[in-house]
Amino acid sequence: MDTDPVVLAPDTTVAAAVQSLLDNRLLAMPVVDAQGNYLGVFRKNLVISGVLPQVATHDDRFSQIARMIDAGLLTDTLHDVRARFDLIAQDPVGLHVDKEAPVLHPDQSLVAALFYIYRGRNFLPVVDRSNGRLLGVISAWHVLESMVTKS
Amino acid sequence: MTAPSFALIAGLNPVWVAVGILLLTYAAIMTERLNRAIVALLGAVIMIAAGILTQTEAVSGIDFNTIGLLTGMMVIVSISRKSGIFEYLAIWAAKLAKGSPAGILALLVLVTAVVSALLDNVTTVLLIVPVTLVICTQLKVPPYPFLLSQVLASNIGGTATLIGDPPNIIIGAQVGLSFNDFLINLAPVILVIIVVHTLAIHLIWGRALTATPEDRARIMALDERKAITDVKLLVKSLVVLAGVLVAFVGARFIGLESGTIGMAGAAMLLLLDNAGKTAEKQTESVTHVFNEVEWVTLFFFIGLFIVVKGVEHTGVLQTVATKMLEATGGKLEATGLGILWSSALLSAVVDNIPFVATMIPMIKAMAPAFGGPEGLMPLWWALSLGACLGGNGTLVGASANLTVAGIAERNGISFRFITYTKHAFPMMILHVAICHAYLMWRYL
Repeated sequence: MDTDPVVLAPDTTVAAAVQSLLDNRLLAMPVVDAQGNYLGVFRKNLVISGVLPQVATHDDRFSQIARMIDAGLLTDTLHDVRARFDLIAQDPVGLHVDKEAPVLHPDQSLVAALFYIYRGRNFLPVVDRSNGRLLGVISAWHVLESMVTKS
Repeated sequence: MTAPSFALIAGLNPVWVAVGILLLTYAAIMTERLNRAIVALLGAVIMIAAGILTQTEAVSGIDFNTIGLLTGMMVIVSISRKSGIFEYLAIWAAKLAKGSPAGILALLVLVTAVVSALLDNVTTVLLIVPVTLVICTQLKVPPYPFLLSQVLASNIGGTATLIGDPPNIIIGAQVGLSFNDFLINLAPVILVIIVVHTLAIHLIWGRALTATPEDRARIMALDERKAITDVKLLVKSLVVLAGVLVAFVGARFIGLESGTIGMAGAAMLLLLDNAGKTAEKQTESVTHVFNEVEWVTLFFFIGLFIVVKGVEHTGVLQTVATKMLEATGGKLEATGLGILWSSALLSAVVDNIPFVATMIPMIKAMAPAFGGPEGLMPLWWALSLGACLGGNGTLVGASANLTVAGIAERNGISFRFITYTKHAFPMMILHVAICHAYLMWRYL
C-alpha cells in the first residue's frame, strides 16, 4: 500500500485535476478534504463522459448507439471535444467525483483487493472505517509487484 | 361456488366486494406508487382469496391469445434487434431524405408508424429513439419535435393492426377478430391520420429545421450496411417475421389462433438462432432472450384478466351495460360515438389496458340490443380507435409516451407533462375527430 498517495482537493478545478493525472501518469486519484476525509475518486472516465456527445453516454442496452457509431455517425472534431471540455474545465473536481467507487478497509482480506482489481479498478482507496480518513491506496501495480518480489 | 366464501361469511355482497377490488386496483395503478404488476397480481389474489372466483375460474380468465402473442413477439424482437436492422432503417431513411432535417423528421414518423404496426409500441420507440438522438446530434437540430412526432406515430401506427397495440391484441383475442379484420377496418383511417399527422408536424416544426451542408454531407456519406452486424441473423429474423405475418393473414385457413402463431414464431426463431451452437452457448443465448421478455407487462395482464373476470363473474358489468344502453337510447350511432370519445378521453389519463379489459365484457353484453355479435362490430372499432389514439393525449396516456420521456430526460432534453399535453392533446382530438367521421361514414 502507498500510504502517501497523490490526492486531489475538492476545490481543485477539473483542468488542474486532469493535469495532475497527466503529471503523475495516473488514470484515477482519490479526492480528500483538508481534514484528510476520503470523498471519492476522480477518474479519467468522468472527464471522457463529459466530452463525448451526450447521446453516446446513453445507457445502450441494445448496442444500438455502438452500431450507429460503427456505421460512421457522430463525427466530431478535436475542436468540438475541446469546446465541451471547456464547459467543465473550471468546475471544482468535487462535482465530478465517483462516490460509489469501491474502497477497502484495513480489516479486509487480500482477496477483496484482488477481486476489485480483477473487476477493472486500477487502484483502491483504503479508508479507516471509524473516522472516514484516507489511509493510503493499493494499486494494480502494488498487486503485481507483490507477486514477483520475494520478501 | 362450492366452498363458503369469505365474502359470504363476512356478510358482504360479492358484487360490491368485486367492484371494490376492481376500483382499488384501478386507483392503485393510477397513483403509480406501486409497480403495476404488483397491484394487478394483488388484486387477482384478493379476488380469489375473497371467494369471488375459484382458482380454476380465475385461470380461465387469463386470455392465452393475449399472453402468448405478446410473449412470442417479445422473443422475436429480442432476437431480431441484435441484427442491426432498426439502425439500418433509420440511416436508410436519413439518406433517403438527403440529410434534410425536415425530410428525416417526416420519414422517421412513417418508419415509426410502420414498425409499430408490426411490433409493440414501447419496443418500437425503444428501438427508434436512441437512433434518432444520434442523428439529431449529428445534424445539430433540436430532438424534441422528432421525439414528440415519433411517440404519436407509434401509438397511431399500432392502432392499424391486431398486433400493433395491446388494446387491439386484447380486443382481437377476446372477441375473436382476425388480423385481417383489423387491417380492413382500421388501416384505412390510420393511413389518413398518419398523413395528417406528418403534415401537421412538418408545418409546425419540420419546415423551420435547418442543417449545414457539411452536416448533411456527413449523413450522406454514411453506409447503412455497416449497421448490420449479423447478416445471417437478419435473414432468419425477416423470414420468421414474414412467416408470422403470413400466418396471421391466413389464420382462418390454417385454423391457428394468434397466441399459437406468436409462440410458433418465437420457437422457430429460437431454433434458427441456436441450432448448431454448443449446449452452453444455447443455454446462455436462450436465457438472455427470456431475460429480455417484459415480465412486468405479462404479469400485469395476467393479474388484470383475473380481476376483470371476478367482476364479470358477479354479473355487474351486465347491469352497467344495460344502463349505458339506456343512456344512449339503444341507438348504435350514439353508443358507438359515445364509446369512441369516452375511450379516447379516459385513455388519455388512465392506462388504456384495464379500461379495455373492462369494456370488452360490457360491450359483449350489449349484443342482444344490436342483433347479436355481428351487430357489435362498429363498437369494437370505436373502442380500439378511442383507446389506442386517446393514449396520445397526455404524457401518462400510454407506456410509449413515458418511455420516451424517460430517455429524453436522461439525455438532458426537456419532455414534460405540460409541454407534451399542450402539443399532443389537440392533435389527439383531431385524430379522434377523423375517426368520428370515418365511423359515421362507414358503419353508423
